[in-house]
Amino acid sequence: MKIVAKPVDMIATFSVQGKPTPYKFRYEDRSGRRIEVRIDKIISADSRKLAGIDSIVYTCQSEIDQTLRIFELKYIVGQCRWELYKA
Amino acid sequence: MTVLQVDANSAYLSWTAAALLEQGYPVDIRTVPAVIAGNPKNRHGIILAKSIPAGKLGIGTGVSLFEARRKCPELLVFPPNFDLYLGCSDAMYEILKEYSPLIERYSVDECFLDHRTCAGHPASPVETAYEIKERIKAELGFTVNVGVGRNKLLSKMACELEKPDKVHCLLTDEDIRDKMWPLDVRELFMVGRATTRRLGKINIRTIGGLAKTDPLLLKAMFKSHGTLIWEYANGIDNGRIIPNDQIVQKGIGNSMTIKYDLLDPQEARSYLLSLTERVGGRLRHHRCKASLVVVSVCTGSFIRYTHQLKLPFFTSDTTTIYRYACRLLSESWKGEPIRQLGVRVGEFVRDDEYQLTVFDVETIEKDEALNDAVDQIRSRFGSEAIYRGVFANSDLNPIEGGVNGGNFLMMGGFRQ
Repeated sequence: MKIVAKPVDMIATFSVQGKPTPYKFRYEDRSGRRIEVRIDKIISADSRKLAGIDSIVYTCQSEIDQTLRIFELKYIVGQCRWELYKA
Repeated sequence: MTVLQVDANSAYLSWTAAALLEQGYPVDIRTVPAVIAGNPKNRHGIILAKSIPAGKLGIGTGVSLFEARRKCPELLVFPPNFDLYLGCSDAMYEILKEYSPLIERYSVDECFLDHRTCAGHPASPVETAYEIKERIKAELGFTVNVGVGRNKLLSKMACELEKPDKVHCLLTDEDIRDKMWPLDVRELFMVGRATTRRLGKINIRTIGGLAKTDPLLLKAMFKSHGTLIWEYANGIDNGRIIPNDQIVQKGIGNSMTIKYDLLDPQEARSYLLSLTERVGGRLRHHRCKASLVVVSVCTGSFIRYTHQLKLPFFTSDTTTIYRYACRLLSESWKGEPIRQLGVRVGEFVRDDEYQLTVFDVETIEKDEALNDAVDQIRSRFGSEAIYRGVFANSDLNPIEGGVNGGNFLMMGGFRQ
């Protein structure tokens, strides 16, 4: 996987304790096509503080264009922003 | 007493590098000639931090960007991001807090911690030092040097020995003799360029040479500073680790370099007012009143002078400080182009125990109430929520001075 760090539109659920869980996101691929991806499975979630930036990295699995893909999503806590971190 | 000093290696640069790597930047800027520098258009174009490869090309901190580019045309230049740096510093402090409750944040990238208070960590100081170093590298993505010493000075000297990503100890007399004494005297804390030159004249070139010199000779030459550097060279330092909220500040000041050379007295006064706004706000935040006002000027040809006035009363009122600052400026300034302006106040008393004057009790109370109201509005709605009319429709910021709009941890561990 390579670092992409591309901001995405996200629908996520937040638990009572405030823990976010990604549900579905939308991004633009290189040709400008908008692609919606539903997260089928979250393999792991890690809290990180690299460079002092609070973030949660989710390793996820989804079917994109009939291929099963593993990618990482990042929630940047301080900015309340989601990124496609690695793909 | 065993003190650990933790110092981030080329802090601004490695923090920027860690953040860039997270954003998918293709190279680690720590491994190529790269610098963090201010914007030359605003006359802030000096090198704030450099990578180790840039250092090897002779690019030093504090030189101009122009000069650095001449030495290395393919130099990568990045602007500073003080919010990021403060975030990294806070994250580092959070990790250190797990090891000791007694920590002094000496600057944005340096902390002293007292190993005696590491109650939950019975490991030896060196083991703790290695653990801290490895944890910061793994969790925060940048490297630090940790110095272990008998006191603050020795831990700081140990920290500077060899970089990056190292732990050094100066715990025994043998350590001091073998590791510190062969170093150039310039490396000693509190020995600067001028002292090095004067020491060179009496043939003192290494720290060991300084340590073996008669302290009376040094005292005769350098007064109390001579005794201090002799003690430092021998590894003697009785300084305590002071948590930052207990540091006593003796003066508060702000200055700014202006984009162009100032010639108009009215404009100079406006800059003075915007600086005084910051200084006054900080003074009141510290719950102090000052009785000394200082104005400093740096001219276009880099001649610096200051002019100060001792007031017969204590004040924390912005307008009063500004009035005296204007008087000082008009007394000292002869109309030469101004590059940098500064305002400083000193000689404090606590604001709940000062001597009132008989004549203007009422105005003092009114001014205090006004300043309080302004400070509260600014702390709640932002520093530019309320400002003076002179700044309306002007390009000038109503509050000037301080790094990152005053939100940064400065040398000595206090906020501007």
